[in-house]
Amino acid sequence: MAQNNSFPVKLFIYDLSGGMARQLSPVMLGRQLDGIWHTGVVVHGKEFFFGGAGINNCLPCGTILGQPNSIVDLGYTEVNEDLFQEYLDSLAESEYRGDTYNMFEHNCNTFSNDVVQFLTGKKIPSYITDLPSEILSTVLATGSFAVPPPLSCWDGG
Amino acid sequence: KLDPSCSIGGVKMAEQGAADLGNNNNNKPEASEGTIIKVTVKTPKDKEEIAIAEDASVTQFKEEISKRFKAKQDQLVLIFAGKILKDGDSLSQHGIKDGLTVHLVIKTAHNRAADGSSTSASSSTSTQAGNSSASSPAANPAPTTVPTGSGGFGDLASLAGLGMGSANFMELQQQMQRQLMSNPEMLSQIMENPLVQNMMSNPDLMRQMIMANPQMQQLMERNPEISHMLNNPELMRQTMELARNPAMMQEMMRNQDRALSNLESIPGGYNALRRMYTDIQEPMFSAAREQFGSNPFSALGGNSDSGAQPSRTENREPLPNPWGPPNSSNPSESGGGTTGSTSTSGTTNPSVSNPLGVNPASLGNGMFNSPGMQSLLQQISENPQLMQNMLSAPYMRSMMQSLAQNPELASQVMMNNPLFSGNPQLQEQFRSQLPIFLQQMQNPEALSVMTNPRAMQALMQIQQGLQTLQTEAPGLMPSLWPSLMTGGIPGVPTGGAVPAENPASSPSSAATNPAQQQLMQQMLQMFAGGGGSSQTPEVRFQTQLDQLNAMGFINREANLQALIATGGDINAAIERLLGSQPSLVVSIS
Repeated sequence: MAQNNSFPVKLFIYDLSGGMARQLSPVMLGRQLDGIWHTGVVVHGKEFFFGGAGINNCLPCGTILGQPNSIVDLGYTEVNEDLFQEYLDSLAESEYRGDTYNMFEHNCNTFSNDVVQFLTGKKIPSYITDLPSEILSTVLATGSFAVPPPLSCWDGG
Repeated sequence: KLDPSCSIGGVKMAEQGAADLGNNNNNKPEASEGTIIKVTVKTPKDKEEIAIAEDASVTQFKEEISKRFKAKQDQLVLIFAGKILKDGDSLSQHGIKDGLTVHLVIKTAHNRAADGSSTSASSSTSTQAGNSSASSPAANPAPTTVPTGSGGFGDLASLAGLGMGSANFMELQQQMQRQLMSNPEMLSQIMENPLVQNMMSNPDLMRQMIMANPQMQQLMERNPEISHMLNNPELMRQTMELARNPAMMQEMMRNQDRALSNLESIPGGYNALRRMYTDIQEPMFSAAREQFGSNPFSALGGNSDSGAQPSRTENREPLPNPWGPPNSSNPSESGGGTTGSTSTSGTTNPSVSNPLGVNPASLGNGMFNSPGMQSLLQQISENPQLMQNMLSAPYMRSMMQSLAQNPELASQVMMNNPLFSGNPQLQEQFRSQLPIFLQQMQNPEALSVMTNPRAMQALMQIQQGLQTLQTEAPGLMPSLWPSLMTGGIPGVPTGGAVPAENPASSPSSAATNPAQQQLMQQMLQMFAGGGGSSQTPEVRFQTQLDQLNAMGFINREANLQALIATGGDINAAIERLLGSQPSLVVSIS
């Protein structure tokens, strides 16, 4: 098992609200949310993310969001590029087609979580995956409509 | 020798005892003694629980998997904790225990390059490689010439791969486009490819390609101007340039937007714009949307084609002040209709008092009166600092602007809110109010009111009052409104066209909400006039004001008030003025 390649895997985390969520959430939602998180998985020199158009990739920091707010190092994977590509192809055919996008339940973070688990066996930080349920619990309670919309991010969060 | 009674679950004893590392256990169908564990094997599409001996080897595991997933063993790639499981390994070596999940990728037949044959030399040297690499070329009809990744052509090939090698070309094409649309990086990469550039610089070819699209054809039939555009090589080339250069594209879009907003301010321009939008842009958008398959936000909200936006342009007219007249007329009513200063504060700047764009029609419907909204407003009024912060944030401003410039986007975004998903009526409402709302938000005076806690409180009180009224006297509301709005004496059938325009004011309590809404809408329309683009009622009613003046009605404020109430109808306004100002009669004669 020695000579297998080792590819670093990183998680790029972006705050779609550009800081607004941290400021506004107590007012709008009655609850402190530190950000509206969008994530992308960076491996093999590319950043992979899921959006309304399906699974995409680009060069790291190559989305409209620019530099990520934070980067989480998830260790290494032995999965090489081809295998990963196959995996993504399968995903794109099944669970992560373009039309499966759901802003709360099946979004970019769901995708990142699945991919990261595939690559490393770990999960992404829970504050990201907990976000939809947090928002949902407040949105309905306060009747608020003003969840800060994803700022010019094609693919939403 | 095997003693059947001591085998667990029928596991046969291995001849060599426990599985060895690197030992080829292929000939052993079952593992040696060990407990059975249940391991979940997960593919992107599927999930199965497989029972296997704890100390089984990966090969044995794969055998089981191959049976369950109906795939060949050499197609299976197992990944656990980021490691690829080699056939010679054992499950325990990787720490695979009961209840854990192992990921599986089933290599498809047309895999571009066999796993490991191009990238990791290691796999060819791995002990069990005999299995995988021997059979994979056979199983791999795809051209082995395609290198992994790099190179323009390589990228295109990988695009095809992304399309899952779909036999359906249309589908593939769509996916490609989708990828393109959402990935600017890829787009520029493609543009740089000399092959593509060559193609692009041939306008004929481009035209052909575009015309081939059935939706475009439809569009062109309906609007011959579009085909003109296509036939103009200069324009085509420019568009190509644009496509190549995303920055330039943005610039262009911005210019276009600016030009459009300039157009709006020209009288009559608004209508032309609207026509233009509904005739050309809308079908184009929907065609583009269908073609590219993804307006990203339509996927988000599962929204049906919302091209039925009433108007793409911002509504510059200030909403007449639903708060103002009732606000000012409440005290004045009791005072017998003094139309002095109190009314001016209400009328001069309607938008100030209506910062939230709260359409009175919405009062009849629970949205803004929801307890949530109330508490929200309360919070806001209690914490003016917060509002101030929010509104002064630079990104807020630009966000509002961009939202205002693209109401379609804004509506899509609003629709995403799960709150709306179950309530189409609400959606409709919100959609139509949206441009107004956005416009209001941009008005700095509106913003300053929002930061004024007392104002917010007053607003809330009004809302509460209205709500109470509504519940107390639902039938009374429609007929009360006109009098409230016009500041006339209660009970006096106002001369305005208002009641006449509201046939639906029947006080059936079940229907009050829609009735009220209708009433409000009509009144609003009346107040909003006929699409004039001037800012204040004074400007709008300038001619009428002058006329009134000439007739001897010198009280400009009262005139204005009356004109607003009657929507510019001079005669009605005169009646009103006469009705409320008996003293004026004297001055005329």
